[in-house]
Amino acid sequence: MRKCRKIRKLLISFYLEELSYKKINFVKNHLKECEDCFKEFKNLKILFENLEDNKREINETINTINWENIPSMIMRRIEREIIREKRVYHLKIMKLNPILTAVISLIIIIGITILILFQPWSKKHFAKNEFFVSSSSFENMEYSVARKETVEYLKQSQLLLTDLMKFTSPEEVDPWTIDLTSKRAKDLLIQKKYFDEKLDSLSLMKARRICNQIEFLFYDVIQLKEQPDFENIKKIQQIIEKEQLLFRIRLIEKELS
Amino acid sequence: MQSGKEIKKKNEPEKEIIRRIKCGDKEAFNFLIKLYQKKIFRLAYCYFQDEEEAMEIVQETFLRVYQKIKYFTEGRNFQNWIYKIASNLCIDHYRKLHRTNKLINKLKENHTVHTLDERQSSASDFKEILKKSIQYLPYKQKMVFIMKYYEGLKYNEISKIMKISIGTAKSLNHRAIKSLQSIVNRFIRGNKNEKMQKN
Repeated sequence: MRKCRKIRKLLISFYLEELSYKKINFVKNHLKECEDCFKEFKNLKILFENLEDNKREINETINTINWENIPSMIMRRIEREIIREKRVYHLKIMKLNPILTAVISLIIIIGITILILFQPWSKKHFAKNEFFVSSSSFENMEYSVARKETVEYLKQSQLLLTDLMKFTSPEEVDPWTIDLTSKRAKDLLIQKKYFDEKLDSLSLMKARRICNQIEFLFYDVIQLKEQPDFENIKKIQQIIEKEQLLFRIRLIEKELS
Repeated sequence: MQSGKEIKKKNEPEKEIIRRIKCGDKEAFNFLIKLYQKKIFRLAYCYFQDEEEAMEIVQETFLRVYQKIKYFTEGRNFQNWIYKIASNLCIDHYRKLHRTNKLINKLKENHTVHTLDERQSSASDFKEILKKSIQYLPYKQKMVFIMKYYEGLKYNEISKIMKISIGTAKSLNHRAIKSLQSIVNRFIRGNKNEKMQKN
């Protein structure tokens, strides 16, 4: 039985003559002895006989076809296909076109938006002798200018107040000197008007306070032109001493410079 | 430019024909079609058992050959290459048909409807069943069996065409024959039973 199973596995190869000489003899001998396996082999033979018939039928079908026309038919189809492929290629390009158009228009829109927003051609941006600075650097520049002007103002004020402090007796009061001093005070007041707005920043608050005190004092100095008497000078000198103005001016000057 | 007949007369080797096709010689291509059209038709006809489908495969195969011949390198076997194209087309087409059940419908139209379990007594019916059995074989088994039995290709050629090992090609062929053999056995057994009933 085991042998039969082995033989049946080899039957197809035996029929197709794919076995070695040794195995062929082995199968042949078994087929002589075993009826069942022989029947199986017979069935296989019937199958191949029928397949042969089928093969013959196919060959008959092949012979009925007019093969002379086939090459020209195929060539016509190939030509049609080539034309169709060309059309498809053109269609593909046509399909691509809207995408390209969309991309180009998008680029144009972005470009126009940038131009409108920044207006690089505008005179405002390209005016001669003008340059662009950032807001922070502009603030820094403004601060340093204000600081310099304040220091200068305080120095001038200090000189003026020191001159005022020199008057020790009514004899020393000279109308011409008083007139000059009041003029200098007037000039300094005008000067303060220009940088007064710049003293708003926190770092210049102290300077602003003392500048305001000096300003009030300068109004009194201007008044001296009308009444150039020693009493009035004395009052101013007392305020200077009381408020320690000269000392404070010196301190702030050092702080700022 | 030489005509196809002249090429045939001179028995120009295949390489030369291919070289001329690559240069755009339509006569040479015509000659190539004449050389292979029957072989491809037989393969496709055995596969589909339908003339119309087989002719479609023939046309499609030569169209592919025309389009892809520029990629065919010298030194390769042209027959294997064209069989490869045709077999791939057959398998693809079969899958498509199978998906849409077109093949089954066509078989129903062309032949009287038989199921494999039906025991038919006449020889013509047996042939019909055998045809149908070949149709119902798995697509790879069927292709290998057709190439081996109907086209008479060697296992090493089949293995190259199908990109499988020789062993696999052999086993696929044997499996196909076994499936068909079981159908024959069933048929013979059925016949015997019928005769016994009559007696």
